[in-house]
Formats: sequence, C-alpha cells, structure tokens
Amino acid sequence: MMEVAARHTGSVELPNEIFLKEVCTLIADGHDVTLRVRGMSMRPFLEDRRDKIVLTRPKTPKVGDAVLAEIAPGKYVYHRIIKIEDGRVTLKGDGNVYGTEQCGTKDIAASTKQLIRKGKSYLPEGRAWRWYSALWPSNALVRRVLLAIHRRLPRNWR
Amino acid sequence: MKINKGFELREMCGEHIIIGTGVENIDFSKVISLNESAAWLWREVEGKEFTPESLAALLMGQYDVDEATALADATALVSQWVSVGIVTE
Repeated sequence: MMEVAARHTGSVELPNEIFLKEVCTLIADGHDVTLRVRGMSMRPFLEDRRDKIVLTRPKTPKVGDAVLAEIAPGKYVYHRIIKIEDGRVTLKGDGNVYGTEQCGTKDIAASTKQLIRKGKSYLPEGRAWRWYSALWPSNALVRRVLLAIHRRLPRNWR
Repeated sequence: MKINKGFELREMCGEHIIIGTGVENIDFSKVISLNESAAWLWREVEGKEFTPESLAALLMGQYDVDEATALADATALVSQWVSVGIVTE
C-alpha cells in the first residue's frame, strides 16, 4: 500500500555539511535559526540533543563569544572564541580539553542570540551565561577533572 | 482548506522539509518532514484551496491506488497538517 504521511518529527538527521550550509544561507538572508545541540563539545552548559541554540547574523566577534564558524570548506563548529589575532580566530569547545580550531573572521557564519538549556532561555549578554563563561576554566587539567565529574553526574543534574 | 502563509517546502539533503520562512526564527528542532508523495501533494496544492477529496483525486491520478485508500491517506495527511498548524481548515 502506498503510504502518504507527514512525519512530524522532533529531529531529522541530516548530514551536517549540507544542512549547516543551508542554515548559514538562511541566517545570511536575515532569519534567526534554532538548532538542537549535537555533540558534547559545549558541555557542561549545553547538553547533546537536549539543549538548543538560536543563531543570528554574525556580529563583530570578540573573545568569549560562542559562534558558528566554518573552519574548513563544509566543516562547521559551534565553539567559543578564545583568541583573535590579526584577523585569525581561534576557537575551542567548552567541553574540549585539548584541540582548537582556527578560521578567519569572515568564516564566522553566526552569532548566538539565545541559549536554551533544559528548556530555560539564556541571553549571551545575560548574567548567567557571562558568569559561567568567566568561571569555566581554560586550564586543561582543571577542565578535564570537571568534565569527568560532570560525565558521572546523573542525567537530570547535568 | 489552504496552506498557511509563510510555510515553504524545501529539499535539504534529500529530505522534504517544511520550514516557516515567514517567521523570523526558523526552528529546526521542530521540523516537519514529508515523504515523497506528501511532498508531491504539497506542491500540487500550494496556493490553492483543497479538500481531502481533492487530494485523494490527485493521488489517484498520479499513483496506482484505489479510492478508499487514497481518501484514507489524504484525510490522515490533512489532519496531521492541520494539527501542526501548517494548514487551516
């Protein structure tokens, strides 16, 4: 039998490379775009497949901002800016102990308009996100220990 | 009934996805995806008035399907579209 049905789904799994390119086009057209977070690299604030981010047109980037950037053709990350020097931007996920990415300022495709953690909205310029950003350590060893503790927490405590 | 303004069917990575281009914020955490035949129907009735019966007639013209099946599928599809707010009765 033929099946004619709309599937109303919470998530459609699409390859990041093409999907995020479309997302960047929509953002460049002036839309804001809400995405569900995938991956652990922005832990502990953003949890894989639970939390969401609202992205908007890129603003002038500054250290500490979490941005969507194209770090190689078709390869996108949503990470935090840890350094800007001579037009080169260095990014690192909060949940990453080692490993950074680099791109040019023009490769920043979107800025964060809102972060939605456990259903609650936070603004990037709001107090909670700014406090968290200031307090989350950059030191690899401290970060490693804290992330290990975080991983062992019951799911609803994270 | 009619498709509500601001909703657009796009093909992304081989999936037929309805996005609300009329709204400022496009929420991909609540995505509506359509299969091949539902997407075909969407394109056929875009900008037009339709009923479950007219959708069933379109289906019978395009696919090898009997009237009862076509009407049952069209009715189910329309009620899903209405329930997610992309179509108004």
